[in-house]
Amino acid sequence: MDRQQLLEELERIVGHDGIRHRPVDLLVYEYDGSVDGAVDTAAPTAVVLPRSTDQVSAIVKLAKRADLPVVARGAGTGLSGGAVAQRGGIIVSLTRMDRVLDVNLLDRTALVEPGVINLELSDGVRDQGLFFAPDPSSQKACTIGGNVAENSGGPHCLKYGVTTNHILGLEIVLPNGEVIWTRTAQDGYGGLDLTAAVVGSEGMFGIVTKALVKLTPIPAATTVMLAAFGSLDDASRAVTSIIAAGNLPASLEMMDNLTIQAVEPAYHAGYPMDAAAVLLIESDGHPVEVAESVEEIEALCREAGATSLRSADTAAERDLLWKGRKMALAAMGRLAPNYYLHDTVVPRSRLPETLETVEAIARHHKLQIANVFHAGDGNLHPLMLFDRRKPGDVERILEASHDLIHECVRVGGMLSGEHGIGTEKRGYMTLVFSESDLRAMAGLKEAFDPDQRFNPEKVIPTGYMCGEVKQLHLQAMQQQHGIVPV
Amino acid sequence: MPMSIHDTTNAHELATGVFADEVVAVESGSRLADFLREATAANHSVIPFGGRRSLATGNPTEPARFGLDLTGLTGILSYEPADLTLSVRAGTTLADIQRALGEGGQELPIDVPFPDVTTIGGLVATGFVGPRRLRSGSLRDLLIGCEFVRGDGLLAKAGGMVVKNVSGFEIPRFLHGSWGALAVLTSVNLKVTPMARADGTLLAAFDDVGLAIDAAHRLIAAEPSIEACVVTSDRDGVRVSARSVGRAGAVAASLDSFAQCLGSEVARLEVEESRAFWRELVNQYAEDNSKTVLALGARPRDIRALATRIGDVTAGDESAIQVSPGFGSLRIMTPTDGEDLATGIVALAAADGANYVLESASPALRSSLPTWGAEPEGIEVMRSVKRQFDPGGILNLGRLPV
Ligand SMILES: Cc1cc2nc3c(=O)[nH]c(=O)nc-3n(C[C@H](O)[C@H](O)[C@H](O)COP(=O)(O)OP(=O)(O)OC[C@H]3O[C@@H](n4cnc5c(N)ncnc54)[C@H](O)[C@@H]3O)c2cc1C
Ligand SMILES: Cc1cc2nc3c(=O)[nH]c(=O)nc-3n(C[C@H](O)[C@H](O)[C@H](O)COP(=O)(O)OP(=O)(O)OC[C@H]3O[C@@H](n4cnc5c(N)ncnc54)[C@H](O)[C@@H]3O)c2cc1C
Repeated sequence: MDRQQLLEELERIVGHDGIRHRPVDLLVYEYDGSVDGAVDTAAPTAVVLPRSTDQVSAIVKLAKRADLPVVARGAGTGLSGGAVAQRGGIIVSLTRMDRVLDVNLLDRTALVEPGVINLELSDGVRDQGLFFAPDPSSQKACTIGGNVAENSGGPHCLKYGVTTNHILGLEIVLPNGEVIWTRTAQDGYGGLDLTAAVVGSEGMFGIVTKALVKLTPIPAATTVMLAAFGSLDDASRAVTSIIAAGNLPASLEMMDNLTIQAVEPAYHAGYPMDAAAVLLIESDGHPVEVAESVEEIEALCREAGATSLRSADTAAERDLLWKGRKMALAAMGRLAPNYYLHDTVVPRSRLPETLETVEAIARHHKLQIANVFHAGDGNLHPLMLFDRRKPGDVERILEASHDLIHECVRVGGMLSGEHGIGTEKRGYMTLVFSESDLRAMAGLKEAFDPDQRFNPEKVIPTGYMCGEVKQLHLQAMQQQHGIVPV
Repeated sequence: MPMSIHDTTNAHELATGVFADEVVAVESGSRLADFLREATAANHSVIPFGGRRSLATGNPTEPARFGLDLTGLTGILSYEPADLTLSVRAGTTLADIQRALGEGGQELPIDVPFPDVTTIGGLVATGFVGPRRLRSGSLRDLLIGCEFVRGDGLLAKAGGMVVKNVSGFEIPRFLHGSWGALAVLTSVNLKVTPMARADGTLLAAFDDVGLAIDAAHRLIAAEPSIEACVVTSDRDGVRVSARSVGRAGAVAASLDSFAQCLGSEVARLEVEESRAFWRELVNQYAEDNSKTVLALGARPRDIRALATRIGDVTAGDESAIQVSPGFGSLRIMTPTDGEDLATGIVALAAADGANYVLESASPALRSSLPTWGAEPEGIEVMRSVKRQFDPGGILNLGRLPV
């Protein structure tokens, strides 16, 4: 099928205003939220903006006929290159499918289209005493479809779990264009938990066209505490002792001095400028439970050497304390023109030494690294500051991230806690997974998508897919025995 | 009806009506990989088993070539209280796990029937969801990694020992509830939680199931931190049982407001009594496999109508019903000869759009009523996953419609 014919057929499906194909219109779709250099950019053949599941299905069937890759896209805030069409083809942007179709109070569920923005869902149900628990820092922009594909997390996932814990079922378009509803473990359900497989599959198994999500009741009481420390080590020891003493705060976030320097002048959240680190600790639940745990956590912070403690009970005070955390990335522009936001995860007891390692890596590569992260989960976000215009800066952050990933894996950590593998960390997969592990993952991909149509060149390194193994084998035969396949 | 059309004279009966020609035991993942690779090559069918508490669940099949005993695959591989993570071999019993965690002041927040024999591998494989799903979730929410051997003998791992992880596809959660039809788990990694300092349950009495379910819905809506809420109808009449866990002060205050909201209080159970009550509640449906047990799932908004209609059919007999209105689960136990009744309930549920799983039944009923209910949507994808993981189709025939 030639390009012209493809564009005409696509237009027939989504209408004139539902397609982008001029180079200047495609430019923005070459990127997602990740750093150019850590992730390659690539241009799609066309971008389509469907309004219904039927349209998505028709697009996928057409792509199959034209033998073109298909890449789903939400808001494009992903940080691992997931929404970039590495091998070109058709980008399906789900942003026009943005309706909340049903909210049911007895079921505590919402049926939503994939383009619904994360925060808008929570805002829409707050009056009814509910919220959607996964709250990525990008929640003002990112979509539920993107959250599902990346299995996204956020500050409140410490207590409430990540996206996969809040998805009850998905309507997906399969790579052959068929539409199915997936289900999940439930009494009376006798089938595989396809929902578990699709959440976190980075758009490689199916395109999410509807999601049935769980809504969580807003707790009766909430208190946010700000604890300041004289050293990073004291702060991370406080984290360990709070968790070890049997407390499960709703969230437990850390920001280091460099972050405070960026945030405080911009948002006046009340973080002490001279603190080496602050912890933002939110406790929620039954009022009696909250009052007692706040007392206990305060004592543990003091024991760990907290230099000041403040707590906020009213919504306005809490919002102010949170504002600094939520806007931290936006404030980084005050410190440097560019930053590379990393995402790794270690067992929480290894946090103190890992933070020391991050400092050592910063020194070694002569980089400024700010830390603002989900400390309670051991989920680090070292933020490397740089200036793209300076020769060598991009290379230095890439070398530093190489060292960082190796160090985290060395202490029992993994490649990514919430941003996904995409293309950014695809090359690192063999660091934590054996050939068999990768073959098992490739097997699951193959079951959903035997033609490798959806989001190719992501997650699984080259060489593990069934077809690729055959190809490598044939190459070897050719080299060794001069046998050429016909 | 005759027990079986197969000659089982020399076979081992692994569970009622479930046979294998030979039983083998494995004690390591690599031995298991060799075994399954050879079994695939020789086209030998295999039924892996742990505590055998759920082994009779499934469509009737011919005797398997091998029963694969995993109860020797035991032991804790790593437990870091400060990390709240645990890695344990799949044949380890729940009781052993809870004991080890208890020493660190931690637990798995799930209630499991017969923990002394039930294995963690069997629990993950069967994917049962208990009453605590309302707030603490189920085992699925606690799974962070596993090692497994696919039907074709590929030994692999997925996930890790960190509580938050998106490195690669989510195979561990996907294997939850797969009934060992794709792979045999050799170890699982779990997120554990601090042990609740206090535990309390309030029991309230009602005149009928419909009113009890309405009251339960009201209670759940009013109490965001309620741990579990179950409606039962059995020999003891109709009851709502509501549970609270946490610090002592909060639990006591919660039980007060539960009583007020429900407008009834039959009993108040504290700490050990409360824990024992919930253990007993889950045991009740799993203890006697001569009874017929059906599990039904429906949307919470539909569960009242479904429960009421089932209540009409079963009125006056020895049946017992357990409903979790908060997440739409209903379990019904009918007396030994309740075969017509079970068939009737299934038809009734189907008319309401609810699916069922026949968890326990006589061999005769199992041959007439499919265990897994209606064919699930996406069956083609499920079958192609089965072909990838177990290309020889040797694992757990009759379990899951794949
Ligand atoms: C400032 C900032 C802060 C962030 N903070 C967090 C955080 O705290 N926690 C966190 O987890 N992440 C965070 N992220 C990362 C990112 O926001 C999340 O991964 C988010 O879920 C992506 O959503 P999106 O709609 O932008 O998806 P996109 O970037 O458009 O796509 C991401 C992936 O999802 C796939 N996809 C999108 N929609 C669908 C669909 N409907 N069906 C199938 N596949 C689909 C794409 O193919 C791609 O692989 C942050 C990003 C930024 C820029
Ligand atoms: C009527 C009834 C009601 C029940 N209600 C509840 C309940 O409310 N809550 C609850 O938690 N449980 C419930 N159970 C289940 C009970 O807890 C089971 O004992 C448990 O789920 C299985 O553990 P097991 O070690 O006995 O597994 P087995 O009975 O030995 O095996 C069960 C299944 O799992 C597979 N399997 C076992 N080990 C592995 C492994 N390592 N890898 C892969 N597959 C494996 C087997 O092949 C088989 O298909 C109920 C069971 C019955 C029969």
